This record gives sequence, C-alpha cells and structure tokens, in this order.
Amino acid sequence: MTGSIRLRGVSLSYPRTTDILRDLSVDVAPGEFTFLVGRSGAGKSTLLRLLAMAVLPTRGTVDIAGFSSATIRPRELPALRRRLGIVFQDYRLLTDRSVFANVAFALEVTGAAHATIAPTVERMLERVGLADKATALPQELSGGEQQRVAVARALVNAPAIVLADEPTGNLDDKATQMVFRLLRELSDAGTTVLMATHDVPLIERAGLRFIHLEQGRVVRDGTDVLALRADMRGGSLP
Amino acid sequence: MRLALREVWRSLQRAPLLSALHITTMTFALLSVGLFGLVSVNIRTALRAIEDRVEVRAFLKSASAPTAVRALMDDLKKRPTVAVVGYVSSDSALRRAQWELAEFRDVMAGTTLPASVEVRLRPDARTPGDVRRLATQLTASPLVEDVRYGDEWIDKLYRLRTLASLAGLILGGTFALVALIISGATIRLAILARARELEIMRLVGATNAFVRLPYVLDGALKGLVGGLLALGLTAIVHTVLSRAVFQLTFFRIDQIALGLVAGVMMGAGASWVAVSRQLRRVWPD
Repeated sequence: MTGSIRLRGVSLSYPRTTDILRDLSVDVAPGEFTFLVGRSGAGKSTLLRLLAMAVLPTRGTVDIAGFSSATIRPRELPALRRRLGIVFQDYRLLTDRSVFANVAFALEVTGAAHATIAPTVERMLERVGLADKATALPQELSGGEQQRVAVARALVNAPAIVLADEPTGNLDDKATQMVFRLLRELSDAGTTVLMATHDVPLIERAGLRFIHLEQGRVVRDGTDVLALRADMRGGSLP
Repeated sequence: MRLALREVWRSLQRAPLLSALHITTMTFALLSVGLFGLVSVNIRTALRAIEDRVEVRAFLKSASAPTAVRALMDDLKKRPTVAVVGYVSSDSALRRAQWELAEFRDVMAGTTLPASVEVRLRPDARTPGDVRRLATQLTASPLVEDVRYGDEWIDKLYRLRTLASLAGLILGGTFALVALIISGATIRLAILARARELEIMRLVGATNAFVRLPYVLDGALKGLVGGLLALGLTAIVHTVLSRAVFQLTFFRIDQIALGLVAGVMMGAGASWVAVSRQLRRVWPD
C-alpha cells in the first residue's frame, strides 16, 4: 500500500551516542491523520528523517509508501520522495522566486510535462487559498501564507503521504487552524498525514490519533488526550 | 535541459558578483596554467631547434672512390632513422671553414680539408643511443677516416630535454591541481549560496543527475569563459614579450583547443565534485 507506514523494532543510533530512537513499532493506515507529539529532543524530527530515508535504521525495518528500508537502493530514493510531501516549520521557500515559481519548481525538477505545470500549480494555489498571491514573493506573505505555499509545494506531486515537521510551530492560532484544516482535508481525501507538533490543545481539539514519543520511545499511541496531558503535566510541551 | 539552462541563466542574474568571482578565479587559475604552458612550449621549441642541429659527420679518407662514397650515401638514405644525407667536398669544406672563421681566412689558404658525409636523423631518432649507433657503424666503414657527432654535449642536451619534459609534467600538473582546488573552493561557495534549491530538489524527488545538470553546465560555461579570457591574457603576454624581449612561439590551434576543453572539463568537474558533496546532505539540519 503506497499510503501506509509500518515500523518494526526500529532503533537508530549514531556512533558514540545513545539510541536516538529505540525499538519503535508503529503502523499508520493509508489516509489516516496522526500527530507525532513529544518534547524537544524526543526524536520526532529524527523519526521523520527516518521515514524519508534520509537516514536508515540501525536496527529494525521501515516500510513506507511501498518501499522498505531493508531493500531500498540509493537510486530508488527519488521515487520514494515523489510519494512523500514534506513540510517544515520554517517553510523553506526560495525567496527569489514567486509563490507560483516555488510551487512549480517541485514539478519542474521532477520532470513534469511543461504543459501540465501551470494548470496544476494554479489548481494547487486555489486549493490552499493563495490564487491571488501567485506573483508575490514569499517574504511579502504572512507566516501562515508562507506555510500554505510550502504545503502547496509538498502536495503538487500528489504524494501518498505527507510528513509535516512542526508546520504550525511559527504560526498564530488563526494560521495554525488554517494549515491544520488544509492537512485534515488532505487526509479526508485519502492522503496519509503524519504531523509532528508540540501543540497539545490542537491535538485535543482535533480528537485524532497521536503517537507520543519521549527519549526515542513510543510512550503512548492513541486518542486519549487526558492521558497525554497527564503524561505532560498539562499545557503545551516545552 | 531547458530547465537546466534557465537555472544557469538565473544563477548568473541572481548572483552576478559571485559569478564574476567564479569566472575570475577560473581565469587566473587557467592563466597560470597557460603562462606555464607558454614557457614550456618555448623551452621545447628552443630545445628542438638545438636538436635539429644534431648531425653525424663522417670524414672520408682522401683516397675514397666517388662511386663507393655514393654507395655509402645510398645505403644511409635507406635507413628509417635517417632524414637527410649530404656530401661536403673538400673545396666546400674549405669555403665553409673560411666563411665561419673569417679571421683565419688567409691562414687556411692552400690547406686541404677532408671531404665528408653529413647525416641528420629523424626527430624521433635523435637519442644519444641512435646517434652513437650510427657513428659506430660509420667508423667501421673502410671509407671513413673519422666520425664527429658532438658526443661531449649530446648527452647533456638529452638530459636537459628529459628534465624539461619531467619538470613540465610535474609543474604543469601542480599548476592544474592548484587551479582545480582554487576554482573548486569558489564553486563550493556558489553551491552553498544555492544550497536551499538543491535541498528542495532532493526532497521533492529530483534525481541526482537532474540536480547536478544545471550546476555542471554552469561550471562548464564558466570554465569556457575563464578559458577564453585566460587565452586572451596569455596572448597579450606573448605579444608584449615578443615585442619587448624576443620572438616567442605561441600555442598551436590544437593546443588552444585542448586548453579550452581542459577549462570546460575543469569547470564541469569541480562543479560535479562540489554538488556531489552537497548532495550527501539529503535532509536539512
């Protein structure tokens, strides 16, 4: 299944360090929206790196979007990444290009047919509510708008799975809601979404599954936010 | 390819100063190679001019029959290592000596000099071994009284040639390596300036070949421009020195083409290495 994620006994360590991830076994079904929650340094970003196979596990296997860490070859990484949409907290947009060009860039560099690029980008900007900002430069936009551009870029190649690393970390409540709603709509349309966040109230409002990581281990996997709050002693995580 | 060319154009437009620095570095790196090449070419030309004068002169016995001398010359002409065979009669030898040593013209009047056969070897057969072999064979001829071939300096000449070739190879290689390292550092700067683009290309699933193409084209283009500028500057240095000091040899067209191709390869190669290093950083920190 191209939209599924399956981890079995996954550990990751670097030389002369303790394990960064320890014995993770997790399943995410196609189309499911799952939060990844935990304190800074808990291993959330590392897990996302592992899912994009920027690093490979020291032990265990990662199966994602039809590829396995046990068998993937370096030349297959581009094919995997085309099935993933990746969003970062700091947007990572090209500041010398317009909003349109930023989104189009993801299509151009993956060899999309020239004639399909403009209509696809227009449709995507329409979807994230930025059709009227197509010619603006990223720095002319608010943080929320920039993150929506980043989401549009992540989605333009129609990925099966979206990995979002603290996508609302720099946003105010209103922008957070807008970006979250966008990701939620994606999930409703069948795209698997794994979103790393510190924002416990957001998880509470969403009422969706979360995976709580601490010190590289899964300490809770479910929807019980009260238990999560108890784990964290309430409020947003530090 | 269209996207790659557009990205090259964009990088020139977006960072003209960095592009200018890149081209300037390539130009001076290649200029150092070009100037060294010019010195090397002229040393080789000078040595070749000296080598052209390498000849074996066999002085003939006075009683040698003309038919026997002709037979000896015919035999020499048939040898694959021999380029030119000439006969210098006794009178010609005297006239030449009087012309070369004009102050002793009167002393030489009435003197008889021996006739000789002069042999020049082909350029690829002028090693001390070839020259000595021929001299030994001529010495063995019953027609020959004595053989002269400059045995006291021919070894030194060939040692000098070997040394010049070796020095050319080592110094030329060193210059090229230094040029590669300097231009590599500049290219690395240019690539770091575009690190985000590269990172995004990788994250959205562009293949390594696709990511490299614009950078390699960019490097090749700048290598070509740097090579042309270095060639122009080398030509200026050549013209100035030729006018002010003495006439120097310039590069042949094939050497110029080789230099330009080397510039393109150097630019493209350094970009390839720099972008490959950057590609190992798959995920942003």
